[in-house]
Amino acid sequence: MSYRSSTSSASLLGKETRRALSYLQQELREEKLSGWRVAKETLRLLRIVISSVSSSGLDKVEEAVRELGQELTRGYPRCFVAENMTRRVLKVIHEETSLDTSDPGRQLLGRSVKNVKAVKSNILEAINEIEDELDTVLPNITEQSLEHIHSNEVLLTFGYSQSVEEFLKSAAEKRHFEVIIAECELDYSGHRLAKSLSEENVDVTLISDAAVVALMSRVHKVIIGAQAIMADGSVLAASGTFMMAAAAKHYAVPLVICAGLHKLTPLFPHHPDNLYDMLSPCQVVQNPKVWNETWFRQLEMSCPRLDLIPSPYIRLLVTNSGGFSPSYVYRILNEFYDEIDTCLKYSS
Amino acid sequence: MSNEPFQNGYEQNVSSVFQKSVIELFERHLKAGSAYAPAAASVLTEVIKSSEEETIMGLEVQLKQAADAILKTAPMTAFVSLKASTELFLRFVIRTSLEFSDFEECKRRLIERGEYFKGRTEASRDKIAQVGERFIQDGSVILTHGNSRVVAAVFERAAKTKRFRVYVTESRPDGSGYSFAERLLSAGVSVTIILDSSVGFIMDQVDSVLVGAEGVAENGGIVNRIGSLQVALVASSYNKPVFVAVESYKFSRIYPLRQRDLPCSDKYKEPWHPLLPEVTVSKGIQFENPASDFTPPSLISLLFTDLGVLTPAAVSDELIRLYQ
Repeated sequence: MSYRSSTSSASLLGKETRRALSYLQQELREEKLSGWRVAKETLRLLRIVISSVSSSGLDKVEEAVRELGQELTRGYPRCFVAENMTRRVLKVIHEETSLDTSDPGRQLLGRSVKNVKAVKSNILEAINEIEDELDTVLPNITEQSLEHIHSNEVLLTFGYSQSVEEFLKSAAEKRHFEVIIAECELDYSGHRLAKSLSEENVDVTLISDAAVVALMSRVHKVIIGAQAIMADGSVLAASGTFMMAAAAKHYAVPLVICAGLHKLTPLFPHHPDNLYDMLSPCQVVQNPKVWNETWFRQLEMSCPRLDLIPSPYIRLLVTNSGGFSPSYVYRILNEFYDEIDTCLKYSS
Repeated sequence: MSNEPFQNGYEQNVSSVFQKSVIELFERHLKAGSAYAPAAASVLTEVIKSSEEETIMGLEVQLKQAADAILKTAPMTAFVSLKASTELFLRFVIRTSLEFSDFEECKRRLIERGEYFKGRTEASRDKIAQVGERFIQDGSVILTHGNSRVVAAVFERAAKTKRFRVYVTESRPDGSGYSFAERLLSAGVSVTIILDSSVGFIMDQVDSVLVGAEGVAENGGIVNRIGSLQVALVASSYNKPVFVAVESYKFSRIYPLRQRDLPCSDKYKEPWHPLLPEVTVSKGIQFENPASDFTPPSLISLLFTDLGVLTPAAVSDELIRLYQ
């Protein structure tokens, strides 16, 4: 099968799908959704795609899903969770189509229509299972909180993460501890977490990002969320977290990442295009009065959205499948994804 | 292959003639450009094909003799991978013999498997090049050590679509860095040769290190040309990633705890060649000439193999799968 661009008239995504896709991409751009919500929305989109593709052949289904995955890769800002869901569905498709044939070497083409319908419904059922798994992500993460948070501990966290919020709230029901929140100067999301936790009567201290290193020696653990877990166990997290990870390593403070496995991606962080997601410099200099000044226009400003925390800095990954060290990530990758889906391009 | 009848009284002579023909065939494969382990697999498959043995035991004995002959003639650098792949092959023979009670059927299956293994190992270099070239970016600077054909394949493939620079060490004592550099130059890569001792000096200008391996230990560490450990140590202290491009048949069940745990060649205490020109050495001066060293997994970032990209921790899982 030759490579085709998605703008060709032979695109497999129908109008309804495209509308839903552009809506999702808009929501992603405004960053209103948590990773978990993105996963759910992507699965919903994938369900639409699979049901709407005509039943002439199963290869069309796989192609349509790949095309959708391609579109999601090009979305801005880049959302790894959406791509991961696509890869999981592709793995399901591979499994279903190979199980269906009695002879594993048979081609996908030339299949009877009756089989297509059965395989399609199996795929949709498997997507439902993935969605049920997503529903258990937060409960599974929070039930591990008492193992890691003990009484009278001082914890440090960065910005806002839904997993971390639930993790801390669940521990706060039984234990008393103090949380220091670095506000995350990019979007001040730390304020949101501070408000939410103080409503649960947790001792909260809000600090600026710069104070993180100064306070690190007095902290027992650092707990943060992640945008993506890479294939070698390193993590992409909010901009500013690497500074925290480096300080934690220096003071031998354990760094714990709370993230669901829908964030696990089979990509390695050695390619710059995965990482250099830049935001508008107006978030660095927020005073609109200077924007039209000539001296301002000559400045070069970079505002990266994410930081890469390499795996040696991370002590533990707390996920819905339990807690494990970053070197264990490769095992779970093989369970979730097929190797050929790592690059979501058209393939024969 | 020896077609002489297997006579009891002349077992010694026959086996040495047999071994000689095995060695001859092995060297013929190597001359044709094959890597060591695939050549060994081809030779062992040939032994099975032309064997006149009628029992599995006899076949196993013959294969063991052939494997010993190969290991005797192979250079030290290939010892680890050859030992690993011949051992794997022999284990497979034993396992298949337990599955099939009929000798002819078993023999046919073994030949089939031998051919499949040969085909797979020949394709592995391309797969590794495909996987590894994604880690070379436009404008990057890469340091390499030793003369690995797999690494050359990765660079050649990347050079088709990207522009990058490579620092090649001399790789003494055999100076194979020069022929490696020539090969890269003809592929259109910008190449610079440096002394083995300049690695520390050059390391901060380098983006990553890419080396091959003669063998991969159970913990994910590698056995490679002497000097690799130094390169990896310097790279780690400068926080540069160390990548290893290696075929999966080089995964071995060795677990070296110290450098001395590696197999030692007989020429270990002899001076290397070429010694610097116009240097004469007095008798009292001693030499130590190790051919390979062991790089522990903590210094290695990723391994590019035909099974995909692996972290050192993942190697032991793959080994278990291979040996099952």
